[in-house]
Amino acid sequence: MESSVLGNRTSHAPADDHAMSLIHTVRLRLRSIFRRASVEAELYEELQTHRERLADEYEFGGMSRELAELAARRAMRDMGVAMEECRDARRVGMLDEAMRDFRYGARVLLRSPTFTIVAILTLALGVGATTAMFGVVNVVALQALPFAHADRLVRMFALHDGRIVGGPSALDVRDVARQAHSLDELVVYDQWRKNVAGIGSVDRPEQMVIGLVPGDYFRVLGISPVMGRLFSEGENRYGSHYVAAISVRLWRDRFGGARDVLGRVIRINDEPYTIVAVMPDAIPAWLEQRGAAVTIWTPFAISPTMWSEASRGERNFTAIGRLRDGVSIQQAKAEVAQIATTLAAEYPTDRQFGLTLAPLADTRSGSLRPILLILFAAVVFVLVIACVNLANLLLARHATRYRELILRTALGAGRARLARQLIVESLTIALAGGLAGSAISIAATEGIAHWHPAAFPQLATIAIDPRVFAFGLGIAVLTGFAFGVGPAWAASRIDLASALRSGGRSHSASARQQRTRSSLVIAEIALAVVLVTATALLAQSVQRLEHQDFGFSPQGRYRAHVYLPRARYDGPAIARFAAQFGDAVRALPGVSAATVTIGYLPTNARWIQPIVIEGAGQSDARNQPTTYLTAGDEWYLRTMGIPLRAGRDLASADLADRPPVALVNESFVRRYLNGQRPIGQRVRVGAASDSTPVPPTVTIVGVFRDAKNDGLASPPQPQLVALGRQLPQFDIEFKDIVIATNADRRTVEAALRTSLASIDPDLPLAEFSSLDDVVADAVGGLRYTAGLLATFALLGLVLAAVGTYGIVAYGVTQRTTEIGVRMATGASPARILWLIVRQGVQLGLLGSAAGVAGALVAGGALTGQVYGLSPFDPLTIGSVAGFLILTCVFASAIPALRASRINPIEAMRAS
Amino acid sequence: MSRPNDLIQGTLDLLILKLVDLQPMHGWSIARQLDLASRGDLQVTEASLYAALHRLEQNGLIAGEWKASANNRRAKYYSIRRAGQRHLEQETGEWNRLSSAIGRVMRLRTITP
Repeated sequence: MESSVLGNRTSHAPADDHAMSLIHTVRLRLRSIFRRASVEAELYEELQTHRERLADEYEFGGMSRELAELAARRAMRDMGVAMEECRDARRVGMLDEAMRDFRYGARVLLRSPTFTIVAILTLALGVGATTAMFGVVNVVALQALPFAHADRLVRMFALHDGRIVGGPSALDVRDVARQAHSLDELVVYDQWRKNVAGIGSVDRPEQMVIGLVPGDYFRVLGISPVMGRLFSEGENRYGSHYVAAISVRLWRDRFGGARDVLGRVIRINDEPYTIVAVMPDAIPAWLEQRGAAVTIWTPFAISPTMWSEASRGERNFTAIGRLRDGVSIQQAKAEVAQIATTLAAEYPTDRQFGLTLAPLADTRSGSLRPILLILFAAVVFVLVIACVNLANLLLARHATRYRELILRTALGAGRARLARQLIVESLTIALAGGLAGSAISIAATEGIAHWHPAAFPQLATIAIDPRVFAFGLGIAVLTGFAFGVGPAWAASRIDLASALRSGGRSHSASARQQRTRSSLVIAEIALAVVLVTATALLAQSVQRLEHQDFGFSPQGRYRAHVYLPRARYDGPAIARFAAQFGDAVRALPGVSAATVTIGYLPTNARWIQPIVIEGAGQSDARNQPTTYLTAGDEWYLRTMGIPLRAGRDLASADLADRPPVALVNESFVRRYLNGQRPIGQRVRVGAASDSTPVPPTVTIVGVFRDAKNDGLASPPQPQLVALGRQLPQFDIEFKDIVIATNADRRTVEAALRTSLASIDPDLPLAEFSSLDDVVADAVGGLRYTAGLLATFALLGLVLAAVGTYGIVAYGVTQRTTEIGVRMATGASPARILWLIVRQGVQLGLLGSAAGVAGALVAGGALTGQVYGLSPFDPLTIGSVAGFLILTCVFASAIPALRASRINPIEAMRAS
Repeated sequence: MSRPNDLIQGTLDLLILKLVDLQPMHGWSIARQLDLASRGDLQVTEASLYAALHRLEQNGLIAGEWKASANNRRAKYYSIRRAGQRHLEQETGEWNRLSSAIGRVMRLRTITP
């Protein structure tokens, strides 16, 4: 109740009375809304009656009737105000007036299309970019995994010195599964490339990634077969494992969805497997080791000896499990760590290794996490810049509409009405911007889902779901409201009397408002500096990664993968194949060199083996030296283009039955040989096992120059190149061929296939690519990040430039009279030009200074992504700051030129 | 001229309630009565008078009803409702208490230590 005297509010009406008056009030309000016309008519009639009485009174006092009516009319000339105040008193608001305000707002906005389009577009770009990024975050970090009780799923990792180094050993997982009480289920599995034949109508073998999984693997993930049955426990035993499950996609694409697919036989590595199940395509690609969906599974039976103690040291399997109900991840981690300690005490090979768990959902973002954080921060910057521009646009617009607002106040618009009107206008812009932004985000999302580097399979599944859509519209309305309310509140506080006295101009000179707008623009410029700096740093990193000295030459090099099935290739057969294949390829026209090896540079040479340097004394287990092992042939250095530094190259005379020889790189010499002469040094390679109780010893015959072998960003690791034929235990069935040629890609691939077919027509050639592609893929993630960041930076830059232009141009409009006076009193156009540009320079200087500070802070977040230069690189930061200042100069040059062409006479007359 | 904003907030509401409590009346006669009873000291603009009337009606303190007036014109007569009477009693007591308190202070001649 408004009518308490001197503010002492006491109101205690009995309940029934209260209810009565509530009904009464609601009835009246509803009437005000739905019977607006008749309520208005009544109001008019009521005031009309009042005026007639007034006229009566004047007439009674002696006036003529005409004069009396005129006088009454004059006395009640603020009848409009009365009606408006009555409407305010009725506080109909909401429905009725919102519609009217909205219609009016739309009309007003359509009257100034430039402002409206710029405002909507600004918001749409900010909202669109943010929403698309939120879509990515949603899929990669927020959305539940597509499995039943996905929050209970965990993945196990091996620790080395407390750091995660990859997957655990299968035997360790088996022992943990037996002992752990905190896990309901724990399964270990793997994925292998194998040659598959007999799928559907195609009989030629092709290389595919096969999931080697126990039946429980599907049970843990809560996936049931569409047809058939899961693998039994017995089928995990080597020898009884010739059954296969296929995915629905493979069933549909390659078997035509045949109902009788169960019981059919496919050949994997030349051995027959009977299809026993069709599984739904429920396992996302990011969960697989190679980032591609698996379509064929066979039981987890790798070799007859896989469960013997000799295999305990083989790690990098994948293990997933399910937490027991009521057990927290911390409890489970503690228990697993405890079990790992006892395992390490029992088995020497486990000595330096621990085990840990992570929620499966947390493993999803993986390598994408730091990049996502950077991109999300960037996109929030863009949104802030967009909002700042919108706020400035609205402030400027309210300033120019000041006269209109005064007029409407004078005509009797209530304060609440005015504020509401302005807020409705902001919200109209916000909604339009939100819808346009959603359209942009849908397009961007489609783009990201289709075009993303292979390193980020998570991005294939991104899509706009209702949560993302709500997010986009939500931030649009929120920003529209936040940046509409301030100006609206200021505008509604018009002091009519003083405003009219000053002719509606006093407001435009408000120094405080100009300062607010300037500091907003400075913030924009600062954010743009940070964005552009981050982009420049990442772009330079990509450049430096790609154009550094690799130590080998990827140009004109191609590679492919061949898998030799054990059923037909064992021991000497593998070496024979390598020699034959190599010779056949080297005989091709245009091929200068070719090597059959295991692994390739720069990303795939990471085959780590323990070594013992003879005469160096027994090292303790913790500091056991290791090297990257390349088991190839004598063509390795020549094919890769790596120069020899000392000694001799491997030679064809180093036959299989001769004492094993090897080459090492400079890093190997530096790290392990302590200045001793490397040539002639003897090195024991590999760990002892059941099959090789004494690991082989090689003699170093040469040293080659360091080449990138641990990815592009890391320094080269110690590497040892030996001959496969001399070290049969390392001459395994996975073969890579690398060739150096000047022939074009298509010719090379066809020739390679022909050569392989001439040796064994049942071996498929897989993964053909150029080493240039391998290098490009290695920087693909960073390049992608830099590309997206560049988009955001460009957006931020354009918005900041528009913001600067806006405020300087507004200043010119404001100072037209002043400029006219200056010109009339003899100021040269150049002086006027500088007068205006100086404002832009000031904004640029202040914004860049703040931006440099911001870039220094952001540099810390970029550590780990920036390569080849400091994330605080002064040259980069300085250039960007200078660039932004220049941008401000250009943005202010346009209005400055306009100002310098002002006709002083007209300018002064206009005032 | 006494502008409505100069009236103590809510006092106009109290005066209107008092007048329509005496007998139902329309806007015009309320304005006349205010003018007469205050001997011209309280002049209220039409705008604030009718705004107050509509606010009181909206809040359920008074009720408006269209009736024929003495000279056979249609006019909207306002009468007090139960809630309005209760409110008037409360606020009148409050007003009396306050004005006598203020009066006592204003009559002070010496300060007793």
